[in-house]
Amino acid sequence: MGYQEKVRDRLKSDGIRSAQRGNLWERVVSAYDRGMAEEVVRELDAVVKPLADQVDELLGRLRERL
Amino acid sequence: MLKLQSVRVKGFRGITDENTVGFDQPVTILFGENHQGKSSMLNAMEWCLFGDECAGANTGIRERIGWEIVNRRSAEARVWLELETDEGTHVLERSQAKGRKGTQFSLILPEGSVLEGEQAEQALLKLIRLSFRDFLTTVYQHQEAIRAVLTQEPRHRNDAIDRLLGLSDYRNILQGFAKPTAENTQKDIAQDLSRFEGELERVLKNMEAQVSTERERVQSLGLSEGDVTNERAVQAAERILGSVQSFAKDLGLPEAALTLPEDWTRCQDFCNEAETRVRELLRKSPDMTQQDQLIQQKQALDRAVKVCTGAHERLRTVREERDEFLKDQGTRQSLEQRQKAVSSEIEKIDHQISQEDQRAALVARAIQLLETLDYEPNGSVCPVCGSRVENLLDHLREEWERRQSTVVAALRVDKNQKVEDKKAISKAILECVRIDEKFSEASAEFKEASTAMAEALKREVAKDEDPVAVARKKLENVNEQLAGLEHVICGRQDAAAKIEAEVKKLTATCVVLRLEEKKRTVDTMRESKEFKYISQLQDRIAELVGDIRALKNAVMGAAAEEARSKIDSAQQALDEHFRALTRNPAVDRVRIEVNTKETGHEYQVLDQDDQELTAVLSQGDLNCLALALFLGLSRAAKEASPFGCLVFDDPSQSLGSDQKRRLAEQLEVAGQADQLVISTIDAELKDLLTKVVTKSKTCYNFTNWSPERGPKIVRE
Repeated sequence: MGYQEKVRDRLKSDGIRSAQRGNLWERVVSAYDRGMAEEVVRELDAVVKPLADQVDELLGRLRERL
Repeated sequence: MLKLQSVRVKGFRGITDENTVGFDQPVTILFGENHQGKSSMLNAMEWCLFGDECAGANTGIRERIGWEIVNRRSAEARVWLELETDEGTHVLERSQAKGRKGTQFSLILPEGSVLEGEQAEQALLKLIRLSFRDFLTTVYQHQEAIRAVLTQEPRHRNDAIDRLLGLSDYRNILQGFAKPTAENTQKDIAQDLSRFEGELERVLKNMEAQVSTERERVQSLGLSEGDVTNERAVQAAERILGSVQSFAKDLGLPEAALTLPEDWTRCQDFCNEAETRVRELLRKSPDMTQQDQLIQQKQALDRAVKVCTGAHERLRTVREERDEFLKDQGTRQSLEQRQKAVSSEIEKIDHQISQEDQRAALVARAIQLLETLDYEPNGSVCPVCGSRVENLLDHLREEWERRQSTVVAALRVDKNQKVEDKKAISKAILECVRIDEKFSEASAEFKEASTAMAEALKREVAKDEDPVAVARKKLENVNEQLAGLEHVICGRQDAAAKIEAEVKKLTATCVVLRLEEKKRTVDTMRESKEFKYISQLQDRIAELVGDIRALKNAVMGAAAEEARSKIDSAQQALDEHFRALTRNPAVDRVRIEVNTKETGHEYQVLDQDDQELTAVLSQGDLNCLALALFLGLSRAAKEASPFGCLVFDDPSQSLGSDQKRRLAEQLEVAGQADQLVISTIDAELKDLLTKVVTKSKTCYNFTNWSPERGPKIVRE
């Protein structure tokens, strides 16, 4: 069994989040295949970045109302 | 059981020309100095088996980053590898053209059929049943793996042992998790939100203070708390509209086109319009217009009086000056006549002087002539003075000269006096001209001022009238009219001021209402859908950050578990090989322990007393540790691995002579079960292998490498 499967097996015991974490793992593996650790860093950043951008935008809108 | 039969290489890395190495003996030694193509030959086998998988950064081998497959002087790299299996010989052929990505692969099966491309790759995978990682761990001992273990830096040694165990992927991926970008983003968001809540509180406090100040202002304007409502604001606007309209009516001007606001939000615009309109009505009112006209007339008259008075004064002064001059010097005509008369007298005197000079010259000439004639009447009577003289000619000369000088001198004095007179008259004429010009200018200025006065008076000024007096009388009249208007205008201004005061009250009311509404908006901001959505996003981010953390833990856990499993399986063999290689009297037993830390797993090399060993191990011992680990893993994997061969690339890098001998002994043991391929630059090891290893051997010498041809490979 390769490293991908071994990590995936461990994630299966994560309960309700296992599916999401499984998907995240697929993204990480794909990023690693594309460009090693640097690409993994970018991929992990991209996980929360869109949400962080939304928070920024919403806070900006609220600040305009102050 | 898979065994190596031969490898044929062309255009691969350091190999330019086609070269073949046969593995027909149980032990094959590749011998030669550095950069002679030995490693290229071994790497070629690896590449033929695993293709791109063994190249590049994801191999976990630093030296493989930017690896060039195709030899720089070749158009393509091509490797043929013959593997001996129980079924017969499999021939693998892999090639890659220069500048192209990807490789071409074919496999000739023992019965002669040829597989190509993906089908061939699949068949190879079934045949070797080993990943590239496992191949590195159990079949092919890389020289880089030993070099990496030789480091004194624990973190790097952990990396190196991971590589020896085939766990580079875990470690590489965990490097990607090392930078906590997502967690930092989460913290940044929490801080930004906290800052925003702080701003919210500050704004609210500020607004409360503003509302309080504005309410006080409203009260100071005479309004009560009850007046600050939407309904009252609209009513106030209605009253203002009525006032503006009746103001316009009083002034006799058209009614103001003002729109009554529906609610307080429109009141500010209404107030601005009403204020503008009231000012406009006041400006356009007939009284104000008349007042403006009168003020303008007054200013024009004031200016005209000032100018006229000045001009009149200047004219009077010049006239006095002229009269004075005439009295003293006479008219210009009389001065010119006098000048002419004096000039004529001067001419006459000049004529007389000239005549005297001629007579003097004549007499002098006569005396001179008489002297020439020797005329010398002694005791004669002088015809000039009548006295008797002895020397008449001398007496005549002296007498004549005395008389002559007296007459001419008197004439000259007279002339000088006349010249002075003439100069004085010329000067007086010039002064007369100047006064005449000045008088003309003053007269013109006065005439101009009189014209301006006529304009200010709006009528012609008669010749017998004093323009200044007329103007002053007119000014009195204008002032009376202005005073009469003042009262009326004050009344208008009062009316306008009253409307403006009402407008001011309504404006103040609107300010309070607007501030209160804004305060309500800010007050309820935490209940807004945006704010709630931010909370949801925060929760979602926290969830994702949790996922990332869980994923990191899973990778670390799997890596540690696999490391532990591999180490456990090889522990006994590792201990035996290490002790056999080092014969270190202080070490009765060696074992590797895998410890899980927050940042990942770490390896500890412990002795029989559980003391950390790496700190006291020599470079040679560390080299032995790497070899022992490889041999241990290889032994542990023996049952599962289809390969019946072991490949060593420069295994004696830091070994001493005794350790090299012991390595040869260990290889002798390993060679009993497996085919061995050993690449070395070490002549001592080569000799030891020749002596110690009992299996039959063959040696290939790699020499004379050149970029054009590659190495010269000679079988001994």
